[in-house]
Amino acid sequence: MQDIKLNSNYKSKYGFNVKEDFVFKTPKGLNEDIVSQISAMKHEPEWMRELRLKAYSIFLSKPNPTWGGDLSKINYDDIYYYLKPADKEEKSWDDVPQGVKDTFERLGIPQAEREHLAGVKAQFDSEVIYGSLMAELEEQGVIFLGTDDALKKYPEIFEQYFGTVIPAADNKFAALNTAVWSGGSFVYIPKGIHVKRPLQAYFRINAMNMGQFERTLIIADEGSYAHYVEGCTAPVYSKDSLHSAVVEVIVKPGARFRYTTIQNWSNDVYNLVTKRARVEKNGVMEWVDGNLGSRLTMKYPSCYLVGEGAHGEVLSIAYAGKHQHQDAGAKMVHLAPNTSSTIISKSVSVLGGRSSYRGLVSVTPTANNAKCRVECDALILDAESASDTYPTMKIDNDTAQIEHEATVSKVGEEKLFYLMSRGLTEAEAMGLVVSGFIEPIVKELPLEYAVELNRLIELEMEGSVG
Amino acid sequence: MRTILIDKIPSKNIIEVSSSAQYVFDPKLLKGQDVVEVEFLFNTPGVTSEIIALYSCDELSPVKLRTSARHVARSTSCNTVVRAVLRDNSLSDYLGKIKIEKTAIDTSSFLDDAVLVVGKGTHTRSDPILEIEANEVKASHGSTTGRVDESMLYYLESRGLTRNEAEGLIVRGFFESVLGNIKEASVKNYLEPLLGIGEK
Amino acid sequence: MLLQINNLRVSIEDKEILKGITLKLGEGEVVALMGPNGSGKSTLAQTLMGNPAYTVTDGNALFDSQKLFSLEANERSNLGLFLSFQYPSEVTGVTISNFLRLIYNKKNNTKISPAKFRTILKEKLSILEMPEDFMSRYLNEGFSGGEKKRMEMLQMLVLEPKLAVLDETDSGLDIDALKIVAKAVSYLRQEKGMAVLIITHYTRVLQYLEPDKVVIMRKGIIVKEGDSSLAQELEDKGYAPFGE
Repeated sequence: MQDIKLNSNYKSKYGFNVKEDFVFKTPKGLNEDIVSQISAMKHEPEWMRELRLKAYSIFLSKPNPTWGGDLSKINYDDIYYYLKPADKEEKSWDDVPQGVKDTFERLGIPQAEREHLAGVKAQFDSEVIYGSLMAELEEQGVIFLGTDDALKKYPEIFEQYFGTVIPAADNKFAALNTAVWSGGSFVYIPKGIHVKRPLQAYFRINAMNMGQFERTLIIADEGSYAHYVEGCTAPVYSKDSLHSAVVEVIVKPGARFRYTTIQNWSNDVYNLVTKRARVEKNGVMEWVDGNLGSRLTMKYPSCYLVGEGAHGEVLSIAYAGKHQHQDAGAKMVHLAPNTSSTIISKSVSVLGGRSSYRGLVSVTPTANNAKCRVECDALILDAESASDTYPTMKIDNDTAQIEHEATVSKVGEEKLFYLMSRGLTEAEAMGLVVSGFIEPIVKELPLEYAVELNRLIELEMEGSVG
Repeated sequence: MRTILIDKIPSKNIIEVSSSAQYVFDPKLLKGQDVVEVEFLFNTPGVTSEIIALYSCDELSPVKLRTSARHVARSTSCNTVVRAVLRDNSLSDYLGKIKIEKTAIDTSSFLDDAVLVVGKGTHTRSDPILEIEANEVKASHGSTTGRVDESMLYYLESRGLTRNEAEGLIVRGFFESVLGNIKEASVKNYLEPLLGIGEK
Repeated sequence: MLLQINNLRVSIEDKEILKGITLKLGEGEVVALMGPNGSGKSTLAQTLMGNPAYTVTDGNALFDSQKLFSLEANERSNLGLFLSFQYPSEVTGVTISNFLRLIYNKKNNTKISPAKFRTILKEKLSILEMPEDFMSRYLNEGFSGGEKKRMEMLQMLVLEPKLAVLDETDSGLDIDALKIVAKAVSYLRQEKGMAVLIITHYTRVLQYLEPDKVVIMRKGIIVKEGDSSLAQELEDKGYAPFGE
């Protein structure tokens, strides 16, 4: 929103925001040749090329989903699927090209805070071009790489786990991602290792009509713990972009993994993401998911609780502003005894925005004594905005204990009046109420993200009242 | 408030709530039909209504029920209450929607759906749905599925009841808390034996 | 001997709470069981009543010459054991009047009419100073702390047990409510010779129900037994002198 000035400064013949030094770019649209070309450019093993081609045929065979948001405006032939901006991953900050640095600056990737971060991976278009990983992590045997790099360096681990949690046939967008994926993070936490500081990654889309199809694969080995944080933001475009990521997490017995996303895509982006964790015995998976921006988000982080005593959690915030539809939620599939899960969702709709909670809780006959609690609260700030709740519960076990609650409310006038009587403007009062509403989830975020999110909400409120 | 027993599927699956009333589904209808689907249409301002469905499922009589409270006119209110008891190998499939149109300001609509599992091999499908297009509204739903609470059983046993008696009492109470709100005694008397909770 | 507990060890989820309790209580006797939080007093009460969450790992208990631990909670109730719960369950849809009549009929192996039961109940309600319209409410649902305690006492009056275990029935009550509880207990002591095991943190309740014996528990064992003067000693010095 504050990018207008920079945009005019960096106007290039392509109309890109920041001048791009890409070295390779596929033509618009997708066919088997382009898929093969992507694989060849990356010097991938044959199995990956075959997998991509198979996934492409699955993508073609599946229609767009008819539920969720309006996907009819996506023109798959009008999208660039692969763009390679630089030849190799940059090793140090000084080597990063100035144009890219400028973008990072605007995004606020905190160079000064770099020492506080366990590692920084920034994705600029399709390739990981900058990464740093602290020495102590390397000593512990933690692997934190760009996914393309990981395929080259750790082909065995890669082939063993890739696509096992989310097969290409899972849904149309998982198939698309499998066909054209590029970039993303690969994380391996060895047995018993506790990574104290969050692993951070930044993703963003830069080129116009550039699809971003990053692929993240995470393996938390037995008894390990780590927290992965990604923040997403993109500049404003006039044409639609497609972001369709796949994130697979494997939580081994006794391990605990937290995956935090704060996303603030520009208003043109279709954000269609599949995120799923497979949680083994006594493992814990926590998804913390903040969805702001985008034209349409369809995203339902899931936990497949396959081991006895496994626990899954989703904490979700959705903020739907003008021309935005957040169709977000969670999926908990209980497949083993004594598994438990919690879903807490808070959504805010304003200026004609629509937020929908869509969820599934499933308990299979083998999952005795499963427990699940779901809480969905929606706040509708004005008469133009809307909210939906679509939870589905499928319980095929007579010992399950399932609770679901949802409320829809507006900001009470007496509450606003009370706050304004203490000297706050209407926007400030509204912002305070909204911040309070999402506080239970915001307090789970790393501090810098919590601060950023609250600042974003304040800005949004100024635009939405009086 | 009048009490109306719904003992057959209304034409076009729609009941227009033109005056305040209490609607009670006939458990025989719920068990006798493959799917029972009824939309309650609130297009008269100011009306208020209760929708009640009570049923006890066994292996031979799965229940598939879809209700929708659709609010179009202003200042209407609705309270949907569903109570199901699941016995051995039974299925309860309930979809309960609250739809509030943009025109329906000052609506209050609530849904409360509880499934009490007493048997083995049971199946529950539960889809409470909210579609809210207006903001001057109050709407919420709650849905629970679970077995009889162990600590409650123990408490009642400590007062001298056997386990079966304690469970029977809890099932009875589970229905009774809703039956107590049915205004028309004849409807209430009609339901009790169908729920298997006639006078002890 | 009405109740005889020998070397009782109890665990909850593999954690041992009671580490060898031996305690006797005679017919009509009043025993006060005192101790700080977490000493295992409530565990003892719940174990006596047969809460399935607690596992007896060793020892035994005889109540009225019957082995207690092989019996279900309802069988223990039928023998004349009553526990006033610290946190009674809320049972929706079950009216108090129906519930009390049910447990009365079972206890006395009879089937009296609602009208007749109402006259029996009237006297008991007046002891507890409870209004009659209370009876149409659901069991414990939405009750305040004080109301729940009174409801427990009302059930005790209906069941007329041989031994009432009062698990912190006095806590959270104001002085008037405490007097009412004491009145209900005293009534059954006089009329039926009921024995009482009072579990409490405070000596206040003992002014109204004078104990024959005071027992002090700490960390799952009994650290001291004495007469009612022990309670006074506690009041003056606190639990510290009774530590390990």
